Amino acid sequence: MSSETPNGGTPKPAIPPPAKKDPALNISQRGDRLYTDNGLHKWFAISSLLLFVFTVWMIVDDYNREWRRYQRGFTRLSVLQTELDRQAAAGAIDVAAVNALSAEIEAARVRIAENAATLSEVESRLEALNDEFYSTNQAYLFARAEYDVERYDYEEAVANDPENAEPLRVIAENRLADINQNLEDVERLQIAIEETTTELDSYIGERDRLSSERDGLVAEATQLEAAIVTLDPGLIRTSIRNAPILDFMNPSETVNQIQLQNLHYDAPFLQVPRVDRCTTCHLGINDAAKDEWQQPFTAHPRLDVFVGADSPHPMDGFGCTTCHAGLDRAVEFSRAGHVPDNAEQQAAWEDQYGWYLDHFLETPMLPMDRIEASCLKCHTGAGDVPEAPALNMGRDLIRTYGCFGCHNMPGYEEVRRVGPDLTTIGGKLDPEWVKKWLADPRAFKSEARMPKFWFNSNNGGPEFEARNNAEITAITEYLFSRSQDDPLPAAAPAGGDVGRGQALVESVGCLGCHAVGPIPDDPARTQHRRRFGYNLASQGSKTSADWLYNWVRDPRAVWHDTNMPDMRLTDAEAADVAAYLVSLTNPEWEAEAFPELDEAALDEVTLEFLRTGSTGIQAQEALAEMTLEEKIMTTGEGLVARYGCFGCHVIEGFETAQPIGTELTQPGSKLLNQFDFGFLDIEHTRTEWYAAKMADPRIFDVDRVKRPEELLRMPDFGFDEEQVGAIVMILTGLVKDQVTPDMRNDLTADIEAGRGLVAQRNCRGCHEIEGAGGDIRSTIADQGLWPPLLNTQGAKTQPMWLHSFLQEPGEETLRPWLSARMPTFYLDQAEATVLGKYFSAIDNAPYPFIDTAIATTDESLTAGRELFELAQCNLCHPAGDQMPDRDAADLAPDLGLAAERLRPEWVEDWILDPQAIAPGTRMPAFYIDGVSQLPGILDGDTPGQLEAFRDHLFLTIGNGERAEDN
Amino acid sequence: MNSQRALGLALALTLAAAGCGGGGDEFSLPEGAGSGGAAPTGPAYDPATATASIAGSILFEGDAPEMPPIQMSADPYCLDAGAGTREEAVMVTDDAKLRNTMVFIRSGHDTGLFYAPPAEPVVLDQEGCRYIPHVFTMMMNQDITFRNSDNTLHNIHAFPMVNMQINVGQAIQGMETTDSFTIAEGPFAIRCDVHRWMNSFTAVFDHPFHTTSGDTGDYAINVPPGAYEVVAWHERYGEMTGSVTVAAGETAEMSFTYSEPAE
Repeated sequence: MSSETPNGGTPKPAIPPPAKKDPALNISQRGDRLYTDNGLHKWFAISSLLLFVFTVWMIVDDYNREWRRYQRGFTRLSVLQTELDRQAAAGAIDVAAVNALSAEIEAARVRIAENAATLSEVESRLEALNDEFYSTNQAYLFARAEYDVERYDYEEAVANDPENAEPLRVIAENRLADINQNLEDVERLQIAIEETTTELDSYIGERDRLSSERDGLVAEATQLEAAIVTLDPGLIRTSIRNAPILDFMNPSETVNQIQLQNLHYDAPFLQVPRVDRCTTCHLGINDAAKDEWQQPFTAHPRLDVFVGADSPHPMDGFGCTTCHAGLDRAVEFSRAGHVPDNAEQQAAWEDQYGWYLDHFLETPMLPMDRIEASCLKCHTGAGDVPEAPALNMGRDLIRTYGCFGCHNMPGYEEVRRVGPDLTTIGGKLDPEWVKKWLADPRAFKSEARMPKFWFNSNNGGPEFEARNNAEITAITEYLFSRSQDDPLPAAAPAGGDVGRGQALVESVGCLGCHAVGPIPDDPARTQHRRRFGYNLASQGSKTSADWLYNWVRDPRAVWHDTNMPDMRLTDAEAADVAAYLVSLTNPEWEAEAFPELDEAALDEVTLEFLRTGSTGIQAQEALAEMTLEEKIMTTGEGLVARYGCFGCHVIEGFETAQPIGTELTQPGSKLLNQFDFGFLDIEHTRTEWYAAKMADPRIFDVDRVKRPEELLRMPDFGFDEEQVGAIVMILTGLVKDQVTPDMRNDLTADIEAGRGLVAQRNCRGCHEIEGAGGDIRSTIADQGLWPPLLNTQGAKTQPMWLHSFLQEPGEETLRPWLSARMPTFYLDQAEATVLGKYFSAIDNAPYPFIDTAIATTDESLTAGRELFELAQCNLCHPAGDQMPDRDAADLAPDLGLAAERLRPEWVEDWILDPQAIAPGTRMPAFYIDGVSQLPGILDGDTPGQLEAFRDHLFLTIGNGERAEDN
Repeated sequence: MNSQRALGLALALTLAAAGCGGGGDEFSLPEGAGSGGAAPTGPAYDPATATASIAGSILFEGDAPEMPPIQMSADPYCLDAGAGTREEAVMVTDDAKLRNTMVFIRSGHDTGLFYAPPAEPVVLDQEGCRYIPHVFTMMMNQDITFRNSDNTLHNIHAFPMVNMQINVGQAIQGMETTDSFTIAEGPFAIRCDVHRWMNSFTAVFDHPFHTTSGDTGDYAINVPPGAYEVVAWHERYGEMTGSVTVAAGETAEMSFTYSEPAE
């Protein structure tokens, strides 16, 4: 501390430093205080300076948010882009035209100047007229107001004071006369003004017209120039508008948000409306012109489907986090819950944004390859979701592999168990095959859907071998002991031919649902629907010709609930098919034998079941008294319950047993702390856990110490990476978030029900429906033999015909010369109705009552006959008993059936443009852009010709009903 | 006074620090943002620059397989008009050259130029229930005229992979229909669904350097000087490629040899 200098400028000898540090020596100078005023001032100054600095720092730090940088960048780019557009617009201006106009304007201006005196006189006359008009018009309007008052006074007097009414009437009538005079004056002036304006126009009108024409030529560039000024009003203005504290008024930088009142963010114990602030940085998200701008300004892909105001998912109604997840109100990169798609992106983000995974956020954004999961929130129906291939694959897989057998899942409550009925296993299989099958189903059939329970990652070691074999033997013996072996309905007749059988399998339509051996890829279409039925390779190593004969002849007689339809094979054909299938064997598989039962290992397993409900000693005693047979039965029954075999198969005694798996009603919202990640080194997120689980369901047992009966039980389905991703999509998509009913897809119940049934019966294995399917076409080289496209089936066929065809497709065949056939699916009335309604609904066609009576004229019928002959329809189309001399593959459908089968208006649409209805069809077009290529008949009138075609088809060929003339 | 001055200073400092914080300079517009998104069309190609030439023959080694006669009983008219017609897949001249082979440039030409399609249309005739020519080449956006010289129903069904399929019925003798393909793509078939034996092959190019070996088995293409990848394509024997460099005023010899593959 410095000291005072009482003696003015006299320098004082320096006080030795140690004395300064000793307060006792300075006590006289400070008096009784422990501080000096000067010292205090200094500290005060320093701390207030610090306070000032920190306050400024705080405001600056609070103000300079990440998002402002993006908004400034976006504005800058918008200005640049607008400037480029302006330059382009300016470049596109027809300079010559503008110059010519300018010259004309100049000439007009000169002419105006020459007549300046007259012009000025006209202008002043017009001005005077306008003035007069104003005052006269005012007088008129006031008079009208007065008149209204006086009329009211009079009418009131009439009602309340009739004696004094008469004078009031006179006053009002006098006023009316004034008004009429005023009105006349006003109108006279209006006419005068009009005349004078026209006169003025004759002098300056040309100049004005030329000017506006010139403005029109440069309008775009001018508007863009103005737009630039609006975007960038200059640094000073922008800085003041956006300055801290001042920015409450009208800042150009602002947090944008989409409020979604009906959607909620689910915080613990609290539901708050969603407020999506993503558009604060994603500024170009709804602007198709910004599709190539860099992030975060890039436009959303497919604005016709997402985000766009006219899309089914407009931004204002759906927001962003509804589909993408993440923290709705965050405006910082990591806090918003961005999740990288891959390690490369993660590294880039860490570098660029300092990205980290917020572990406290339960709903981070879905990576782009998992985004389809969100579709499930609204698209809850059974049908495919457009544009979501992985999600649809996931649904297919769940339906195919029957996850709902062990796990309660929403939407699958009524679905049949996916595996075959095991109550008649004895008639179909032999125990040795079943044991080998259970040990490794995919060793027999690479695409086996039966999962692998034994020899997996947590029970595959050599120490498990004897035990696994004992368990497999016990289950097999148990199942066969419970089998009710009804004798097969018939024995296979001798004489089945392998070659004929193979030809049948390849031609009648089996390959729509089945494959024989590996399925080659086809770039033209997917092939997964051909895995709907079991792969037929090695069928001979599995079961007998007798069983196969009965099965292909009438599947429902063997297993009532099967999905396999009746192909309507004759007995001889069934025998051929059975002979072919039996010839498909796997000698390697047959050569291997299943190991003998190790009784000690069996005892160990039996003991586990005996110990439940009794002491170890009691269990030991009970075991000692059991025969081998009893041990096997006890163990087999216990294992069926432990592994939940009844989830997929009907097993006697377990018909009503509860599924054994974890409930999966909302697996996408399961809290992260409820997952057991074991000792696995993976990212602790829901998707990673599900992906690891689906790839190897026993993986979380790694490094754990467990007793055999405590090991994880979920079997291994052998899913590949794509399949794992598809199933994880479904699991992460089943969330607790509620959406409002109006957000759900507006498909009618008819369409949903139809799509469900189409998937259940695998109609798309053969047919293309709603633009997808027809997998079987990859096995048929000749397009003429392809099953029909059903894309416009609802608009095409009559409801009654379709209904009966679906139920009894064998009654009336459209192309009897083909060996491929629509099988009998045993659809009941309700199911056939579901399909009829579905096809009609997707085409907006009336259902079920339609009018097929045709109103026509004799002239039209004659023209129809001529058209048929000219277009030579009979070259390809049979009509009744008239059969063209062609290969089967070159024949078109029988026109004799058209009248009872087709909708008349569809026939006209079809003939007008076949390619529009069935792209690639072999039916030639006779109308190009609506112009008839068949002139000379009905003067080439297209609508008339189409009607004539229809009339001939329905009335002359089809003998249909002719509407009575009105 | 002092406190007011301090507040003013604070505000000014904050404004300066925050307002002039700048930012957003690291962003830039995508490439080609100024062109309005339209595909750039280069300067027009001048045919006079094609001062060089590539020429040669499509040779056939070994015995030519005999083409079977076509069974035309499906249409009595064809049975009469097309009597004696044989399949046209492999046609070898007397001097052992393969007819109906496409020859075209795959790479080497200046892809920055705009090649205008020829004004005159390609004509595909149907006569005697077969297509004439059997193999031809054309440019994208060039008109193609289908003509029916037969007195029976034909339909022209083109099976491109990239372009829109065409399927037009022509019921009247002498009828002509004009259409075009808008995208360049490799060889594809044109068939008649009424008469299955009828087929023709074409390919659509975005440049004019293509031809066929026609009836003689020889071909010639005029090109600007340069190095080219030349491709020959035959409907049964597939594709062969070769490289050639040619200088102005010269003709480079480039022949291909096909043979029937061993069974």
